[in-house]
This record gives sequence, C-alpha cells and structure tokens, in this order.
Amino acid sequence: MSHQPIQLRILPATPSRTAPKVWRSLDEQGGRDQFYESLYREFPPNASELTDSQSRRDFLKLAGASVALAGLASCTRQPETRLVPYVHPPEEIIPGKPLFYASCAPSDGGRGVGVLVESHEGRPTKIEGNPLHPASLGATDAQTQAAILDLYDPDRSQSYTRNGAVSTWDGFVGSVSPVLEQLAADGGAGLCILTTTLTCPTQGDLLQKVLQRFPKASWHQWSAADHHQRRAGLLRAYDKPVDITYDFSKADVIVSLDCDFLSQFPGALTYARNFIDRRRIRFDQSGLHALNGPVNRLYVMETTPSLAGAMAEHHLPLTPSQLRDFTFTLAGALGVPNAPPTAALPPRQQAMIQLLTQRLTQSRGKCMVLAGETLDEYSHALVHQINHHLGNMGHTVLPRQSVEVQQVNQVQSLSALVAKLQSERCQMLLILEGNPAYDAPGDLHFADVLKTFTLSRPRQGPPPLAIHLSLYQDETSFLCNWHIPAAHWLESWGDLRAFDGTVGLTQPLIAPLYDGKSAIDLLAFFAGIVGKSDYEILRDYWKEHLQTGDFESAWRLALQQGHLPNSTSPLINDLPPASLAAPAPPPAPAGQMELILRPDPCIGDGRQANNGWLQELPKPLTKLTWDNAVLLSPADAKRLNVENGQVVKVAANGSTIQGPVWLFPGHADGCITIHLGYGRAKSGRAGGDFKNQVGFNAYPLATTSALTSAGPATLTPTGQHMELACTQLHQLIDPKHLASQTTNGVQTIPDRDLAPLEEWSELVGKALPAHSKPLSLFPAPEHQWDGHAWGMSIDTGACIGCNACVMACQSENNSPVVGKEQVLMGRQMHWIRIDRYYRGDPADPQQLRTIFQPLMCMHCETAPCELVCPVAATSHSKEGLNEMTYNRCVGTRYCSNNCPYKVRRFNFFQYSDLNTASYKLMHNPNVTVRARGVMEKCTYCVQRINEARIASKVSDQPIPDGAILTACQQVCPTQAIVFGDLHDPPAKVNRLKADGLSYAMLDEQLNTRPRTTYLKRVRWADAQSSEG
Amino acid sequence: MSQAATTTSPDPTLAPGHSYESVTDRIGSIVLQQKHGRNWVFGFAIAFFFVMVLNGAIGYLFLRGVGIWGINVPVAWGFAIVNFVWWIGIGHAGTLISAILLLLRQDWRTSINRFAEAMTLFAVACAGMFPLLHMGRPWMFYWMMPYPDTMRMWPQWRSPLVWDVFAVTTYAIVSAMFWFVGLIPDFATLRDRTQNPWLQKLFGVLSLGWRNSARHWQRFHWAYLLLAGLATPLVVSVHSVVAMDFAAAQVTGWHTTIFPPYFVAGAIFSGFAMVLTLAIPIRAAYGLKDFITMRHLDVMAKVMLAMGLIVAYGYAIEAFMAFYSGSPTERFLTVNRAIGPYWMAYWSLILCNVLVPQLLWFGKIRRSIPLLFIIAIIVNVGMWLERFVIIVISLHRDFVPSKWHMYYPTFWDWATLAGTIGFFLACLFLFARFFPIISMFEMRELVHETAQEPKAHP
Amino acid sequence: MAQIFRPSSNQLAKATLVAIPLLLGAITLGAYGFYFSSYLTDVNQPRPQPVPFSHEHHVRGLGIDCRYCHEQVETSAFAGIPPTKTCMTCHSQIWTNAKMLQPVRDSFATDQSLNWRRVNSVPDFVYFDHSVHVNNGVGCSTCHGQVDRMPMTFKAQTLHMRWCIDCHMDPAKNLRPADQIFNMDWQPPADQQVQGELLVKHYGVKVGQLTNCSICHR
Repeated sequence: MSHQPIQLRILPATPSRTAPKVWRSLDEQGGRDQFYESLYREFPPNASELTDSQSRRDFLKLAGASVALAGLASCTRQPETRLVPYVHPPEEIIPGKPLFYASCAPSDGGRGVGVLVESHEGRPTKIEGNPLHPASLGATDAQTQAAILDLYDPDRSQSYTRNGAVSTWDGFVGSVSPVLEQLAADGGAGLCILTTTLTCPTQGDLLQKVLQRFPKASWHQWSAADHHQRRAGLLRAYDKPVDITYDFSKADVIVSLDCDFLSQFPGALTYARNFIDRRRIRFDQSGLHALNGPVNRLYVMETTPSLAGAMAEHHLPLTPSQLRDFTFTLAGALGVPNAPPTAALPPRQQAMIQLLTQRLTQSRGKCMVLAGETLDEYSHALVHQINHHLGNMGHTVLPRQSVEVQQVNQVQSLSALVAKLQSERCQMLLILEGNPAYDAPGDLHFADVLKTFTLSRPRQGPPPLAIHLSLYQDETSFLCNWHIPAAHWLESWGDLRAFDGTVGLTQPLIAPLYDGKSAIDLLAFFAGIVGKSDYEILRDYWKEHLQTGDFESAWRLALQQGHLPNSTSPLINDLPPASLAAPAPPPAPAGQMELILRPDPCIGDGRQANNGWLQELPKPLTKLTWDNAVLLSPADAKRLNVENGQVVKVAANGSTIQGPVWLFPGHADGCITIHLGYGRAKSGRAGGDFKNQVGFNAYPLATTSALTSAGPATLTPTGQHMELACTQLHQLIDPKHLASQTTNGVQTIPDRDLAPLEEWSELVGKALPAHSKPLSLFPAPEHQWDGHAWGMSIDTGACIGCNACVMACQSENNSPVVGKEQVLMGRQMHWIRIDRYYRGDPADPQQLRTIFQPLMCMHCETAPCELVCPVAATSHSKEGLNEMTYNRCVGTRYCSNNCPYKVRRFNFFQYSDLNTASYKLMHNPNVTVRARGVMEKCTYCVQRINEARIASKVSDQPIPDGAILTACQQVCPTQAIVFGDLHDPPAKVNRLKADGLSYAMLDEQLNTRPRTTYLKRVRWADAQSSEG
Repeated sequence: MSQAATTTSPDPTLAPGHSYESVTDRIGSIVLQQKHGRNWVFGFAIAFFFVMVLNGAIGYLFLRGVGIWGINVPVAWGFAIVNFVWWIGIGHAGTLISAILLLLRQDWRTSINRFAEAMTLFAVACAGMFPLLHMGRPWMFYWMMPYPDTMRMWPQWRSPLVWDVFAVTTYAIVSAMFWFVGLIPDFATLRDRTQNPWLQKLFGVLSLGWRNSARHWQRFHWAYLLLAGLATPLVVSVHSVVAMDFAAAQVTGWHTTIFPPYFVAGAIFSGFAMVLTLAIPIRAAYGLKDFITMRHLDVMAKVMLAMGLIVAYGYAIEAFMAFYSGSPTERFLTVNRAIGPYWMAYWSLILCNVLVPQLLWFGKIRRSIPLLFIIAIIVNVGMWLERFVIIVISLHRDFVPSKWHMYYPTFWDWATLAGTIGFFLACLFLFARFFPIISMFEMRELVHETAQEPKAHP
Repeated sequence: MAQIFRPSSNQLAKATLVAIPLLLGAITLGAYGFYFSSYLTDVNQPRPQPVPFSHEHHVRGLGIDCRYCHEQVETSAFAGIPPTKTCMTCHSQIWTNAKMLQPVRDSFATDQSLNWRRVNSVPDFVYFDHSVHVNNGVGCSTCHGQVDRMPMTFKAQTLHMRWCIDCHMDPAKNLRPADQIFNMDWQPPADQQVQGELLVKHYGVKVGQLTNCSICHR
C-alpha cells in the first residue's frame, strides 16, 4: 500500500542563506583556511546559536521576554485560535490519534535497523524499534532515536546549488543531461561514482544499470570508521565477500580482543540482547538461578575502555601492539596451525593467556573470539582461524554471504578514486551521501584533490563536474559544483539489508521538507530511467526479485512488517579455514604513545555532528558532552604531567592537531584515544563550523595504512587550558573514604547506599536475605492506592550503559538542548541519566570495575519534593505517580533541593526553542513544551499511561501487563527496565521486585519508598561456575 | 530601682545636664534646622547608585530568568535565599529592642529603639524582595496566597515557604505599625516646632491630631504596650519559621531540630551587630554622644557576646551530633564543610562568629569605639557566611554523588546583594533626614527619670 | 499659633478611616466581577464565522446527529471538525447556489480549508479527551450547552479549571445514561444524585483519581 505522505512543507530559506557566492573568486583563494573563512561569511548570522553564548543570549532574551509577557497575560482572556479542518480527509488518519509505520533506519553503519515511526497527523515525532526486525528486536540505539532531530534540523540543506547559486532539480537535469550524453558516447570513462557502504539492493541494482549505461565508469565506496580492518580481514581470510555474524545465545565463553560488540558494531542491538539474555538470573529462597542456561563469561582485552569492557568479568588493558602480540600468542597457545611465533609476554598477560586457553578449550563450539578495529587485517584473519580451530564455525560464529552490494577494501577504493581525480581521467564525480572532504584519511588530502579537480580547466572536453548529494551543505558540498539536498530516510523510499542480510523497507513518513532527492532518484536519473518515482522503482525491483506467488499481498505484508520475509543472507557452511599469508611487520613504536582513533560514541564518524541531542548526550564512559578529547590513562597523565582540560599537541603520521586532555580511568597505559567526528568546518549551529569549532578534527591523523590504530604519536603539552563540559566526574566508590577527594582526575566518593550497586557471585548458594521493612512512624499504607500502582524495576546487571534510554526520553518528552555553557553550569535537562561509578584501585586498571546506574524520578511514595512545594505543583496521584504540573509551578526550586536523588530539572532560561518552525513539527503533541522558570522531571511517561487508561475506559477492557511501555523501557536493547502495575500480582515487575537482588535506593536511610527499585548487578568471579 | 541603677552606673544612659528643651532641640533640630551638608548628599548618592544597580539587576533578571545567577542542580538556592535569611535576621534586633526591652523596662533602649525599628523595617523590605526575585516565574507569586481563584487551587499548606509568606508579611505589618505609633508624639512635637507651613501640614497629618492630652498619653501607652506585646512573639516566631524552610527539608545539614532557636539567636546576633554598625556613625555624624552613650554601646556589645556564644554552641552541637548520630551523610557533611571545596567559607565563618566576638569579654575593647565598629561589621559578614555555609555546602554534595556540582556566584548575584545593601542605606539616609532618629518623648521621660529631683510629668 | 487644619478635617479624617476599607473591598469585588465576566470568559458570546453555520437549523431543524459531523468524538481526544467534504455531501445537492455557502464551495473547489474561529478551547497544557467523557456518561450538552438552540455557536461554560474540577470531584451530578449522551434536551431527573451514584458505579469511574493533576496536565 502506498499511503500518500502528508504534504508539510517548510518554506525554503532565502537564497542568501544557503548560497555561498564566493565561487568565482575561488581561483584566487589561498589555502583551505581563508577558503572556509569566506564560506563562513555566507553562514546564517545566528547559525551557532547553541555554541556561542553571545548570540544565544540575545535569542534567549527575546524568548524570555515573550514568555514573561505570556505569563502576565495569563490572567486575561484566552487567545483566539482557529480550526482548520481538512477539505478531503486523508484515509486512516484520525486527528488526535497517532499512527505507526514500519520503516528501516540506515543506522548500524549503513546497515538496516527496523523501526516503527510514530506519526501525528502526518508528522513523524518518535522512532521506536521494530520487534519483528532481527536487527532491532524492538530496540534502537541512541543515534537512531536522534534521527528524528536530523529530519527537522533547520540547518539542513534547503536548496539545490550550482557553483553556489541557488538552482532547482530541473536546472540540474537540464544542465547535466547533455554532459551525460557526451560521457555515454565513450562508455562513460570519465564518470566516477563514490558511495558509502551500500547494503540497499535497489540502489545496487540501479548502480549496475548505471554501469551498463557507462561501462567504463568506476564505482568507489567510502564510509569513514566502518570496520575497515574487519572487512579487510575477511577478504584476506577467504578472498571472497563473506560476512560473519555471531550467535551469543549459544556462547558460554566470549573473548573480545578490543571488539565492542555492544555498541557501534553491526548487529550490536541483537548481540546485546542475546548476550544479556544469557546472564538473566533470579535470586530467591533456594538461592541464585541462571534463567537461560549457564551464565556466560566475558573476557575483554581492550585499549580504550568500552561498554563490553564494563560488562566483562575480566578485562585487560593493552596497547594495540601488545594486543597484536597477545592475539598471536593466544593463537599459538590454542595450537592454531602456523600461528606466528612471538616473544614471551609479561606475567599478567601470560596468566590471562593460560586462563583463556583453559576456558576456550573447555568449551569448544560453545565459545567465540572477536576481533576489533585496533587489530590489523592479518590478526583478524588469525582470529577467524582461531574460531575455526575451536570449532565455533556454524555454531556460535556464523559465516554468511556478504550483506553489502559489493564488499571491497574501501581504503583502496578511495585511494583509487583520488588517483583518478588527480590524473585527468575523471570528468564527472558523483558523490552519494558521505562527506569525504572531511572524513577521508589525512594522507589522501581529499579536500585539496577535490578542489583542484573542480577548478581544473582541461584543454579539451567539458570542464570537470562534481555532484554531491547530502543532507547538509557540508565540507564536500562546498567543494562540488552541484549540491543536491538529500531526502532524509524518513522522507524517502528505500530498502536496506540488516547485519544478517534481512531486507528492511524504508517508507516515507512525510514528503521531503526541502524538496530533497533520495539516492535512488539520483541513480535513476543517471541510469536514464525517466518518469518513475522511487516508490515504483523499489516496487518493480522487488516484483522482479521476490520469489513469491502473490506479490501484491506479500508486498503489503512486507511494508506492514517493515521487512521482506526470509530474506536473511544464506549461511556458508562449507567455509574452508582462513588462508594465512605472512603477518605484516609490526609497526615500529617510534613515538612516545600509540594512537587510537575511534568513531565518537555519540555522533559517530561525524555525520550526526549537527545533532544537538547527540552532542549533549554524555558519552557512556567519560560523560563528556559537546567535545572530543585526547583520552589517556591517569598514570600516563601523571607521567606526561598533564591534567584534565590541558591542551596538547598530538603529532602523528606527519600531521599535528591540538586538543584538550581528558583522563580516562581503565585506559591502557602507553596509548591515547581520540574520537573522530568533531571539529567540523561546515556543519551547523550544534556541530560548529570553521569559525567556532566544536571539538577538534582528528581525521588528519588517520592514514590509508593506519586507520584506527594509527601508529606512534607524540604529545607535547601547551600552555592553554580548555573547559570540558562533563556531566559526572570519574567517581570511585570507596568505603574507606569519608570525605571526597580528587586525585589525578578520579574523585573518591564515600560508599553509601551505592554499595548495593553490585554483588560478587559469592552469594551463589546463599539464602535470600530478609527484606528490611520500610520504617515509618505512621500506620502503612499512608496512601490508599486506588486502582493501579505503577512501579518500575531496573536491572543494573543488564544495563550496558548504551544511552539509548536517554535519547528515547529526550525525544518522547520534548526535552530541550541547553548547550555547552549551560552543561558546564550543571544545568543539563535529561530526565534520565546513567550514572557511572568505578570500584577498585584506579592505579591498577585491570582491577577497575565499572558500574552503570540509570537514574530518573523514583516516584517516591513519601516524596520529599511534594511536601515542600508551596503551590502544590508537584503532587501525588492516586496511582502513586509523583506528578509535576508545569503550568502550576512558580519555580521556587525547593523540590529540587529536597530531592535526594537530584532527578529534577529546572528551566533556568527559556531552553525549549519555541521559534523554529521545524521543531514545532517535531514535538510530541502529548507532552507540554516547558517554558522558562518551571521545574520538570520524569513522569513515567504519564502520557502513555493516560493513553492506555483512556483506551481501557473507552473499551471497558483492563490494561494488560506490558501494554504500557515507558520510552526508556521500550528502547532498551537489553530490557533492563521493566514497568508495570504493582497491584497486578502476576505482572513481571512484581516478580522482579520480589527478587533477592532487588533494593530501593536510599530508602533505608530516608524512607522515601521509591516506586523504582533496582536489581543488583552480580559479578561472576571466574572461580565459580554458574549452575543452569 | 531602674533609677538607682542608671544614676549610679559609671556611664549613664543620658549625659547629665539635659533638660526637656535641650533634648527636644537637639533631636528635633536634626530634622528641622540642621543643614544636611556635603556628607549626607555624598553618602546618599553612593547608596542611590547601588539602588540603581539593584534596579538593573532585577530588570535583567525578569528579562532573562534566574539562569543569570550561578544556581544549578543540585545547588538550586544561592545568594537569593542567603540574602533573604540574612536580612530577615538583621531585622530582628529592632523588634527585640523596641518590644521586648520595652516590656522589660530597659531604659537604655529608648535612645536606640527608633532607628533600630527603622532598620527593622528597611531590612524586612530588603528581605521581602528575595522570595519574589528567586522564583522562576515571579509574575505568578500570588499563587502563594490563599484566594478564591478560577482554578479551585489553594497554596500547599505543608510547605514552609507558605508559612514564610505569612510570617514575613505579618512581621512587616506589625513592625510598620509599631514604628509609626511610636512616632506619633514626635510628629506632634515637630508639627508644633516647625515654621514651614507645608511641614506643619505634613506632620499634622502624620501626628493624627495629637494634642498631648492626658487621655492621648494614656491611650498611647496602652496601644504602644499592646503592640509591643504583639511584636514580642514575632521576634521568636518569624525566624523560627524561616528556620523551618531548612529544618523541614531532609537535606543533610538542614534537617536539624536545633535550627529554630539557633536561627533566632543568630538573628539577634546579627541584628545587634547591625545596630552597632549604624549607631556608631550616626551618633558621630549628628553629635548624639549625649544620648547614645558608652553605656548603650557597652550593653549592646554584651548582648552580642551572649548571642555569639549561643550561636557558637549551635555550631558545636551540630558537629557533635553529626558524629554522635552515626549517620554517614551527616558525618560526611561535617567533614566536607571543614575540608571540602568550600572550607574557606566555613573557617572564616568560625573566625567571624565564634573567635572574634570573644574579644568582647574585655571592657577595654567594648569601650573602644573603632574596635567595636570593626567587630560589629565582622559579625555581620560572619552571619552572612553562616547562611552561605548552610545553604550551599549542604546542597553542593548531597546523597547521590553523580550529581555533585559546584556553585559559583555570577556578577548578577553580587550586583543583587550590593544593590539591596544600597537600598537599605538609602532608606536610612532618608529616614535620618526626615524623621527624628531618636524618640524625643521617650528621651524626655528619661530626662524625667534620670533627673536628680523628680519633676512633674510633662 | 495659627490653626493648621480647619475643624472639618476631623470629619475628613473619620471619613478616610471608613473609606479606605470600603474602597479596598470595592476594588476586590470589581476585579472578581471582571474576572468572571463574559468579556474574559467569552461565555454566551457568539462568534462571527466565515460561514454562518447554524447548529439550531442542522441539529434541531433537520435532526442530524452530532456524530455525523463530529465523527471521532467517541474514538479520539479530538471530536473532529467536519472536513468540507462532509458539508458537500448534502450541499452538492441542496442549496447548491446559496450565496451563504459560497465559501464552502470555494473551499471544496480550491482545496483550501475553511478557517473557523474556535469557540470552545482550553489552553495547550490541558489535555482534554472527548472519547473518555462521552463513553462514560458525560453528555455533549453538559459542557457545550444546548447547541441545538444556537443559531450562532457560542461558549456555554467558562471552561475554567474550577468548573472542570467541580464535576471531577463529584461527577454524579452530571452523569447520564449511555443512551442520553447525545440528547440535547436531556434534563437531570429529580433524584439525579442517586441515579448519578449508580451511574458512577456502572461506568466504573474512579472518582478519587479524577483530581489527579496528570489526568489533564502532562
């Protein structure tokens, strides 16, 4: 069924806004700097609202004043509003009732993740996971949640530009078609196409058609930070396109060699779920039980602390080169044929090797070894070999046909393109999405190459032409002759393969806001297909390729479910053991530090740099916002005599960058980590631009030979110091310390009610401890709960700290972005935060344990906040909700002072953007957009509770358990959050609250009787083997 | 008996040789004849400048929101509430002097009660601003009052802030009445003595037709006494209620039963300090050494010392209970006060409020006017610091460490504080210019009482 | 010395003493009068509309059911404003060239929506849901008045929070049987309070919950 997306258009900005008119003078342009300098002048004056305090002030001043007036006007008459009904009501839309459409998001590094998109009167407002989709299982990651903000981003490119001047699609077609004709004449030798990693069958098919039309044309691929080592390793091992997926539900022992399979890894959501499912336990009278087979064990060797490392029983910090040797030694110890010889390792690593060999050999076929991006392609091949050797292939490690349209070594592919551009053999360059001018490895100097290409004037033949399709007028667009605004995936049709090959269908929720075109449209034009919409192209493709009797019904079903039936790419059962050539010589450790480059845990490789939600999202472990940093271990910091925020020069691979230092407990000594994606030269008000950069750009340090593990680097401290907006210091729980003291970046905090956060598995076999009775002077219950009693249970053992819940909450509840300055003042507005604590000795990273604790309003039954509000703006509902009524709040902030969990947030300024048109479309209509001067906090998603309650009252049916999912619960990949009715005995939440591991935070001390309780995390010491 | 006490005391409450006329002339002339020269204008100009600063700060505040201050989560209350409590405290001395000491028949109060009351009034005015200013949406302040609205909503009576509203407004009203009633006979005197017809009319209206008849005096004394009776409980109640703002919360460092008494003591402590800080310059400026004698300063110093000791006891008990209670958070708070990031605030508080006042044990120091003046100012600073310590240190590190955060006052915080001080002084300058700063009729009574041979009552 | 005031000023003084409290009282009363006046509440103030649509004619005269135009009132929070198409179902047949209906025909022809002035509206932070009310015994006329007697639609109630709460605290006095919901002429029976209590049970209304803030504010 092709429902017609509702036409909601935002008027395109005036040409002057998006049209850089500096092109003619460009030949005289000197270096890149003046280049962007001039470009900056063309920027909208208030483009950097959020990052630049001054202009934000002005903006807030206006907002503030208007709100003040609104307040004063509140005692006068209601402003008159209008009723504007449809002329022809669109089918299936009932005003006031949201609709959900299944679609597929290109997160997961270009691979598809099935989603359900909530639509209010044709406005997509919220993205949920699609439970039917194998890559989602109902969950999404933070980046997918934040995609909704990308869609409505006012900084998105809003017009076609040709050499900087505003143009149109027809203008583009008109001027490019003749050139294409000429190219077609000699087989299109001069045509180069650059795409990102391509997993869309239809686009792949179109590309083939283009290549049929232009046989001599060349197709290149580049996605920065898309597991290049892994891909190279696979190609090297099997020299044919192979992909490998993992079955964590079958694995008893998991060894990760710096591979963070819980985030930024193809299939991470599914893996996280399966991994945690094997750790679900119950603690009752008869002791501790594993619910889904024996509890698995995780061993992580890592350079940079990762989410996987935080979940591990044992983790061992290693530098990339140490990791390399470790891998070789492990292979040898396991008796892998022709494993390379290595020198003896230091005792600690040796001990770990012994432990691992023992564990792995014990559980052949029921274990897996994973390799991360800091390992070179040879080591990757070796790791595949290890899995072969351990007989894991086909059991826990599943080789499949590659999900990519064409699996190539992208580094070589991009280098080839650069070569072509430099020689005069390329006449037309088509860049579909991606931003190579920014994120290509430094030694390719792609931006300069592209510039000289577009400016070169060959003696014969037409002038070279570069065409860029992208969401933003970014670094690359600026260097291309043609910029074509891309349609967001929420605005266009398409299809995407998931990590396991399942084909998900992307359908538009709204007509392109800015007349953008999808890659399919553009490729179709190049393939010479005319008069066919992207929908028709997609449909026709699958009509051809979908082997099924009744296509129509199959297609409808697929659209409804969001993916095509049994389209997973087939397993390869008879995969021969990987072939191993000789290992590359180890990189000479010339520098003083080994450098590691990683995609940023929030904004990824930089494509979501202008997303305020992600910028302000505290990074899972460092809790930094709005910046990247040079991350190193406290020990190294001491050695180099640098401290948090001190700016250092980092020199590697011939280029130098500057950035602030941040101490990172648990980081391996002898290496530094820098997150990519920052320091954008042309992004937007959140991502920054050349004039005021947000973070610093680390891509120049990357080289084609050393991408992620970028070899030796030299650090030289500078005098400068820079404030980094961190939402939580590195806090080390320590019973010994009464006072808090900060030593080299780590703040030791007293061990109070945080102590119950985790238990060692010594309590295996112990009996259930008697639950302490809530103390009270009054005869309990103080409240007569009427009907439902909502409550929540959070499993800290299942929380991997991935931040998805924080984004989901922000999206569901219209939480504003406040900007770096305000975060520095401690005024971030997230309703849910994930607290991260350490235990153990910071001097010994191997012993350091990381614990996450998601924290939102506890909805205390005896809530301290309610007692002190002078105007009853926060009060208790009969269902036990602690309610916050924004429009009654006068803003004394007393409630926040009196909240022991400090989960209340205050609008110190007018934080919500009430002016930007597109944001108005984005807001969830069922949640009030808060004004200046009012308190706010988690409501247990009361709008969802009300929706369910009203539905049940209208239909006279009771609300079944699980019918109400809070936003955080719905998005959680590991289902760590469970919400339900405490008056419904069989409800899951009651089972969890009765568990021996359940505890109520600070309750013993303050008798707040929180409705949200926690399940302690159990650490599985290696000695015990858990019983099934 | 009080007569005997006063006459035999080394330094009397009224310098000998004063007659009814001399007293009235001396004081009345300040309003009527004396030229208010360069000093007054200069002083007032400075004060007025800070009033303008206050206006600026408030204007910008209403335009932008409370975010212009340094407050955040967890420290959601900053300077605004610190100043509020401080000013309210200062007000107390005035009421104490005029009401309680009146009931106790302390004759030495007569020469200072007038401007002490004025001080109360202005201090309460300053204090009264802050609860409004610190609100996120000040234009909704009236929701704190009970009135039949379109929402069928009432204030939330369990909240100490609501008690505050009533306590402070009551206090303001009673103090104002008390002050005005006390002024009536003096207005009459001024009315009769001035030559300026306009002033005659003005004072005539203000004196409500006072004709010095015996019945007037009789009624007057009754009314005055009753008001004193009314005001007396307020001295204790108002600051107790303010203390509840903290004691009723469960924040460690606030949730303490000793707060009400210890706040009242602190209030009187700071109040007397402020009276001294004002009395010393005034008596010098207007040559009132005969009326505000060494005895007054000495007695006030003694009161300060006594109150200082009570406050010190409060601090000691707080620290003791923290460890005696065995509550880890209480213990952490105490240690954090002493060696946490705000240790300087805490130790300078101890210095100002506990150590320095001990100097007052020595008569020499009590009699040395400059030293007394300096000590009084130090105590004022100390009491402000006390409120800072209670509010900021308790909040910045509470139960859940992940949300610990520092509080740094911004320019606007300081501007508001300075502004209110300017406002306070400006009011006093005007008061000194247009009202008798010492109660003339009570001084005349004093003349009567201290005179060697009793005379007939005027 | 000369008298400052004439004897009459005594009277003046006394008068002032009386006048001040009186004045204050008068101001307060006046303020309240104004506050609840239909100038601020818009009650009983018909609003001119682009098309002078008469509920009286359509509902009372022609006997069209509320749900014919406000179709989602039983299913959605928003009762629904009829799209032009609904008007044209009849008016493409009858009164096809009535001047009065020109805007409707234009709207249908040009695909430009009719632009009605809203009569009953609550602030944005109030989340009213029609479906839950009409499905649990609250009739149209309880809040909207006898719309079938409105040639020009006007607001029948203040829609003040006080007014909402009055019913939420004691719904019994307004609830009616399910078959009477859309009856504009329904009048409470003599024993409404008794009937109402029964209906409260019948509909399973949890009265205590109706005053939760989050029932209306989210």
